[in-house]
Amino acid sequence: MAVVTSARAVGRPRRRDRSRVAGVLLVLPSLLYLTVFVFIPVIKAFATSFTVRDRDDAGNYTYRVGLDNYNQLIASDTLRSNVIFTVFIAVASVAIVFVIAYVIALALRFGRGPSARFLGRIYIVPLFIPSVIASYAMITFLANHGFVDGILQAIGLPDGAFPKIVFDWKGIVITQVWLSLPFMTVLLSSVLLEISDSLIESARDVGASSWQIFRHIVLPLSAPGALIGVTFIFLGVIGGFTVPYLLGPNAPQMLGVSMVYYMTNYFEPYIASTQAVAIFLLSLVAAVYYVRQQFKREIR
Amino acid sequence: MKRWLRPITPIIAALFIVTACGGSTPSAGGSAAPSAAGSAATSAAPEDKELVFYSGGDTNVQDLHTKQIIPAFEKATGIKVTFTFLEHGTGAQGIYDRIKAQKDTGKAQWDIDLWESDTGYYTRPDDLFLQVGASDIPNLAKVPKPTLDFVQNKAIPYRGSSVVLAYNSDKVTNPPQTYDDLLAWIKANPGKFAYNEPSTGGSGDAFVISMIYKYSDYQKYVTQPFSAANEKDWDAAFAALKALAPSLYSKGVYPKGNAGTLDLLNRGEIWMGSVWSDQSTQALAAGQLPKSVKITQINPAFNGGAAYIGITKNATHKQAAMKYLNFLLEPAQQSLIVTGAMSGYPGIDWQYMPSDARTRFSGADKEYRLWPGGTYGQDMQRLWHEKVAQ
Repeated sequence: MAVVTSARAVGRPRRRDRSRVAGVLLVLPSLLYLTVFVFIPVIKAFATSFTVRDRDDAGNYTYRVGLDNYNQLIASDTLRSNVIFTVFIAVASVAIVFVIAYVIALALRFGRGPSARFLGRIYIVPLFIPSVIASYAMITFLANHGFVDGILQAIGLPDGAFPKIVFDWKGIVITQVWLSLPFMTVLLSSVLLEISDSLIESARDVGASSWQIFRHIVLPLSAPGALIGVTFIFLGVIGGFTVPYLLGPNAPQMLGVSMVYYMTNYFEPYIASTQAVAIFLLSLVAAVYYVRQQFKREIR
Repeated sequence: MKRWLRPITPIIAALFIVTACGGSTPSAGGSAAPSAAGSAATSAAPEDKELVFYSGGDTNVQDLHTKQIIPAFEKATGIKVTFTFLEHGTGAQGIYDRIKAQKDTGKAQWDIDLWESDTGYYTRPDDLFLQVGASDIPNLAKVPKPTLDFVQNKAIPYRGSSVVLAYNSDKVTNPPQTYDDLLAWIKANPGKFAYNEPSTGGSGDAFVISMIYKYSDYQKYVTQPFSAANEKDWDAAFAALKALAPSLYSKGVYPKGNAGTLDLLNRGEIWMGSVWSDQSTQALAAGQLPKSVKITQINPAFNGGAAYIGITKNATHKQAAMKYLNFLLEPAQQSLIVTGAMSGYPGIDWQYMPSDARTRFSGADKEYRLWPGGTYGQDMQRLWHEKVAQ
């Protein structure tokens, strides 16, 4: 953002030199930061992912350059299912967060009375709870023979009928939804606030039903902002570690967890880097979309 | 939104300050200590009057040395011990490099006498540690030979722990005696046994390693260097583990971490599991596990490991260092390790231990098997994920 603002300031001819220096100075710290902590690691990870390590019978390593790591990512059942699992979890979490957050945001925007006010205060709570704590809470809450199962059994659910949520994909999705909800709701609420009351009232005056107002006015006007929120949640979930580590199944694993295992437990930094590139490419899809939306805003 | 945030801002600011201060303390302690140690080790007398001891690990290791062993040793021998502790092996490589630098520059007297760290350091080809035997340290005669062979006598094992079998004695009256018994029990009691995911804690690894030792000769792993050919035997072991999954907790859910298995035992979800000797004994002492949970060791045993201390090859105070290690291996000091907060196994054989120490691990006061770890360990964990996890 700083880049764009300073570039605009350059337009005036008289103070051109001074503002150019100031602009460079302003950009320099963030550029340095990005270079050291983002660009160089990304390039290193890319380079590492093309390093192939072979081992002889005595455990000595030899190194060469090749595409073997990428072949393995596709050919190995374990690694391939990890990639698919990661995309599945991210898409499922984002879709559910979007629907629930939209309903809450609508209630906050158009709802009146004490229940809407109460909702307005309570929905923000997960934002202040660290994901580790939330994950452990979910385990005791949703585990088989956990809190919820206990209550259901007390009112007649047979033992063993409670579905497996913890140590399963469902556990990851539920916890990610719970953690992401406040952010998405805050974002959607501000988007919905931008839609003026007069627009909705005039639609109502000409006889539009609530559904028509939602379908033809609220939804289209909130879509761009909402999709930016979706992008952020997608990025957060796809690179997550804590929640899938604590609540996920032993296999398949999400890429964040699998990457750590390959790096620290299996001593396979080359496969780990290849998985990092996979996460990077998946995130890139979302990032490109986000940048394009921002670009459109700048034009406006 | 804003009204919500305003009262919280000072709290967040306070948290930042607290974490910032907390982070600075250990580094301050770490930087002050080496200079003190350096000045202590300057002169060498025929009769050593001091000893420089570097150690790392958890705070319970620090407490054991500083509060119990060192004061008793100083009182008994009059030797002054300078003890430097680095928590959780932080800077272990730095200490190693410091010792190596003294070798490389040809110094005749090195300024660190004793070093306690990860086992792998003692046998590195740099050859920085003194090979010791019972003639130097008489109590070494009481130490089981395999644990000394494991480090080529270049360090002495003074405490240990192993994986044991924990069981709920309300439900299990006759715990299995062998690994095959255990496998039969698991099949006969579906859903009542769990071992944790190997990558997340050693007590899970031990169950898998026992299966590997069932299909592959144990001696190959403790007496020979790494050979990838041995891993060909593992396919049968992993197939057997995969076949066992439907009989395990939740039809093949592997809890995360050593604590995961203890948690399932505590909640009564499982009746049996593989756990660490020290962790389970501490949990029992703290009331975190019901009294009905008991531990036992199968035969041949699950694997375990020892913590080692090595004497540097050109230590300035070699005699004092040997005295300290001999003192540490006395049954009296070994009992402190077993019955104290550490709940460790002794470094010497159980048969030399007093009976009150043995009763703490009654049923599991036995020798354990070893596992070389390293490349074998990395491969075992990866292959388990590829071939067993579901």
